[in-house]
Amino acid sequence: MSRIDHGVWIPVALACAAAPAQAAQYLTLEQAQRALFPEADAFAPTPVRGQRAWAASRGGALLGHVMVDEVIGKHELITYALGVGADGAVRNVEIMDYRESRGGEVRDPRWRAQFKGKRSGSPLRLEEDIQNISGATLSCRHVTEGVRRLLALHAAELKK
Amino acid sequence: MISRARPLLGTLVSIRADAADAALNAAFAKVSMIHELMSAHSDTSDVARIGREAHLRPVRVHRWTYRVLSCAKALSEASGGAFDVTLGREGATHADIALMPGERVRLKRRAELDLGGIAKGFAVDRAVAALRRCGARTGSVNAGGDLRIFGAVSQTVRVRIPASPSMTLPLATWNEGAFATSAGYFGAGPIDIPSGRRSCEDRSITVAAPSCMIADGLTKIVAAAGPVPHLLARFRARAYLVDREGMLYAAHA
Repeated sequence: MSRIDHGVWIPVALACAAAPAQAAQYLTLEQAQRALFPEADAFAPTPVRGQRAWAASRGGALLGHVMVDEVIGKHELITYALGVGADGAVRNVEIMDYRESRGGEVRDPRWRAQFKGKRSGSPLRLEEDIQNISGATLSCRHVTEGVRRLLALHAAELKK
Repeated sequence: MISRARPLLGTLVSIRADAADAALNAAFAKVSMIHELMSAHSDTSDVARIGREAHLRPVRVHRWTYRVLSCAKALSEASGGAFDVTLGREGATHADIALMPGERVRLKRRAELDLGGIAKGFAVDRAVAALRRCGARTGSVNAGGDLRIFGAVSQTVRVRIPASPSMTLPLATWNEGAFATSAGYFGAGPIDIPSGRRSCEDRSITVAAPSCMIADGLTKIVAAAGPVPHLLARFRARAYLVDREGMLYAAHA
């Protein structure tokens, strides 16, 4: 047979309901500070131009800074922490919190029928849900731009 | 169970495991390394060096880059070129990539490579291997939709609904598995060459396969050419389609 077989899609009935929105908290402020500067014994608030920042030190010696920022995209809100060493080099970026806004309900009755009577909007364990979504997440472009802005701010105000 | 996320590979990479911070750091280190080796945007990456020099002389690359290129070549050949990591300028195709002994790469003619369609999946596989080596028994790694789960506890894998991407459908529940989804809802997604349209504008394609690298590559092929049975059989994969309104379809070999 010379015909190319492109395969066939077969409809699948789903056993449980669709769920809305994703959100995840990865790190509290304190955890983010410790993740970025595990050797520090003190974090002193040193806000700059309205930006939340802390000076990380050990035995009074400055190790660097932790800066916390939020970026808002079309559908998402991301809180992240940037660790910058005393030399001005990036230590790491840790996402603290990720939230997506809710979209509208799907109205198509065919779509609802596939849930075999189960109700949509079942209770969510949010922490689990974001992890196991296959399918594009939003790009991290806003975070990358935010990091660039924080580094400029750090160079102007915090770098010794 | 702890989970962390960092911006890497042009997306948000989240890792979750029943392990210590050190295990997650080790997994992120692997992802960072692959980011540096295979980025198209860095002058010092293996991919950039191949684009600059491999048409003149063989270029020695990291064994991971070599492995990703070998897999890319297998996918290109099996799909008759539907999957191709060369950017197609000046007429170059996957057939111009020669993989030589000693992890050296030679190009028969000048070409630029883009491993974006497969390196993310490979990074997920390496991150999972690192977690397991560090003693994690259950966990998951998700790099912008390239997802791998493992462990004693079964986990539900969900996919977004193209018409309302903040809603998700449960695909199924597994203990182990690797998944990749191609979709157009956030502006990415493969472009159908003949029509110039994004092939996933109104639907998403998900492939489940033994490794995330294979799933990542295959999902682009299925998006462009359909759930070709001999490809699904050869790579031991299954394919799923979610249409615009969230109807789910499956295809097996």
